[in-house]
Amino acid sequence: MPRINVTTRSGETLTIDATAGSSLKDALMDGGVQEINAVTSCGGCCSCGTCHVFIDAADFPRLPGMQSQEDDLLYVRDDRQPTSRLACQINVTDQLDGLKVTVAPEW
Amino acid sequence: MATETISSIPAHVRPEQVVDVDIYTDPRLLAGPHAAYKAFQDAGPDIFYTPRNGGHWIITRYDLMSTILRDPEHFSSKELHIPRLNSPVQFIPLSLDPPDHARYRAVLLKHFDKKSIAAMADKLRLWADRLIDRVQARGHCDFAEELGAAYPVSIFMEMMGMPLERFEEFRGIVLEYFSNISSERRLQLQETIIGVMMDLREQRLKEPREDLISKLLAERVRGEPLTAEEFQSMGYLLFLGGLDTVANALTFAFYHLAGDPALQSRLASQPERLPDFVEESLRMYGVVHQPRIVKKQIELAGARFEVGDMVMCALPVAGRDDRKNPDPERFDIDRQDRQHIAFSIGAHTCIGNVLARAEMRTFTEAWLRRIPNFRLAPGAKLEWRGGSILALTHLPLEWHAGG
Repeated sequence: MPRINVTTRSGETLTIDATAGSSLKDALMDGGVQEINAVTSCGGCCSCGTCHVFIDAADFPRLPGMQSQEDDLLYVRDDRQPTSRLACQINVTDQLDGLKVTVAPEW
Repeated sequence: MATETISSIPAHVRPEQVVDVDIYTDPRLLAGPHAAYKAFQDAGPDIFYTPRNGGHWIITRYDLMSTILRDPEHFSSKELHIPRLNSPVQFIPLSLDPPDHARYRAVLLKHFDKKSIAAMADKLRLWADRLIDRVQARGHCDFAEELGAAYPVSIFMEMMGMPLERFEEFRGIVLEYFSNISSERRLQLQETIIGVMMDLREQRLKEPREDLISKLLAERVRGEPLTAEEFQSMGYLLFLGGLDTVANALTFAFYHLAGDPALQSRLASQPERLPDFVEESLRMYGVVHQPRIVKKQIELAGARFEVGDMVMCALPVAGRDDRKNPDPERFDIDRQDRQHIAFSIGAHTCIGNVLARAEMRTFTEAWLRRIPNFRLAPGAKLEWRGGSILALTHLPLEWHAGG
C-alpha cells in the first residue's frame, strides 16, 4: 500500500495509506484531506483545476508526464509552480510510495 | 411548434422503456416541474425514452447522470438542444469534448474563480440594495422578473460590459430562446445573440474597457488570441448562461422561502446559515437539464444507447434521489452530506457556480435584513416553464410595507 505524505493548507502534515489504482485526489479524500475537493469540483475530470497540488521537487521526476488538458488548466493559475499537478490526474501506484505533496492554496 | 409531432420509437428501445413526456408542454410539468420529475423518478424506469421533441432518453437518477456526464467518450456535448438544433455554431467551451475543451475553459475559469468573485462582493451588495429599494415601500412585487431576474442579470451584464439600457431587450431574447419555439426560430435568435456579441467585440477591440469582454479579447489560448469564431461561440454561451439561470434558481429559492416563515426568521437571525440555505435550495430546486448526444454505442443500466440518440440528464431532480439523500422531499438546511449536481458534474461543471452561490447568498441576506417577513400573495397563480431550463415566470410576493 503506497504511503503519501501530505501537507495541508493549514500546514499540518500527515501520512495516508493510499490504494494503488485510485487517483491521488481520491486517495487524499479517503485519507481525510477533504479540502482537496472543492464545493463544486468537476468530479475528477480535469476540468476545474481545484485539486491543485505541489509535488516535492525530489519526487516530481517519479511521476509520469501530464497530458495537454492538465497543462491547459494549470496554465492560467497564477500560483502555478514548476512541480504543480492536478491530483485527479495522478494515478497512485506502488512506485509512488513515500510521495510528498502539498495542497495548493484554495483558488 | 416543433413539439407536436411524435417520432417513431427506435428498434433498440423496448416498449417498457417508453414514457410519453413532452418536456415543454406536459401539463404535469407545467403544474410544478420538480414534483413532476420526482414522480417520474419514483415511478421508473430510471432511464426512459419519450417519443416527443425528436425522441430522447430521460435519466432521473443521480448516479446514472453522474456516470453519463463524466463519460465524454460515449456521451458528447456536440448537440445541446432538445429537439436537436443542428446548428453549425458551437458553444465554446460547453459543446466541446475533452481534450479541446480544457484550454478554452481555463481562460474563462480565471475570471470566475473564488478570488475574482470575492472581489465583486461590494457590487453584489450594492445591486441587492438598489433593487430592493425599488419595491420595499410598495409592500408587494412580482419577484420573478423584478428581482429574481433583475438582480443576477444586471450584475452579469455589468460584469460583461453589456449596455444596461438594453436589459429588457436582452432578457426578452433569452426568455424566448428557452421557451417552446421551433428550431427555426431558435436559430434566428441565435443569430441575433451572436450579432449583439460581435458588435460588442468590435467596440471593445477599438476601445478596451475594464469588462469581461475586453479581458477575454486580451486573453491568449496557447499563445494566440481568441479568433472571431471562438469569441462568438463563447459569447453566445455566456449570453444564454448568464441571463436565465441564476435568475430561476433565485426565484425558486424565494418561492420556497415565502412559504416557510420559520426559516425566514431563522435565516434573518442566523445569516451565517445562508450558505446551507442556498445549497439546500439548489438541491431541491435545480434549474438546468443537461442534454448529451450518444457518440459511441453503450449499454447502461439495461438501456441501449445508439449513436445519435439524445439523452437528457434531469439534473433538477438529481438532488431528490432517495438513493443519495435520505428523506429527499424535506427542505432541511441542517442536512448532513447533502448531495446535488445542480451545477452538473464532469468536464462541463457550471463555470459560474461561485458567482451564482455568492449572488443567492448576498441577495437573500440583504432581503431578509430589510424584509424579514413576507409571503406569497393570496390567490397567486404560479406559472412554470418546462423545457431544458426550468423557470417560474411569476412569483407575486407581499409584505408589510412598514418593514
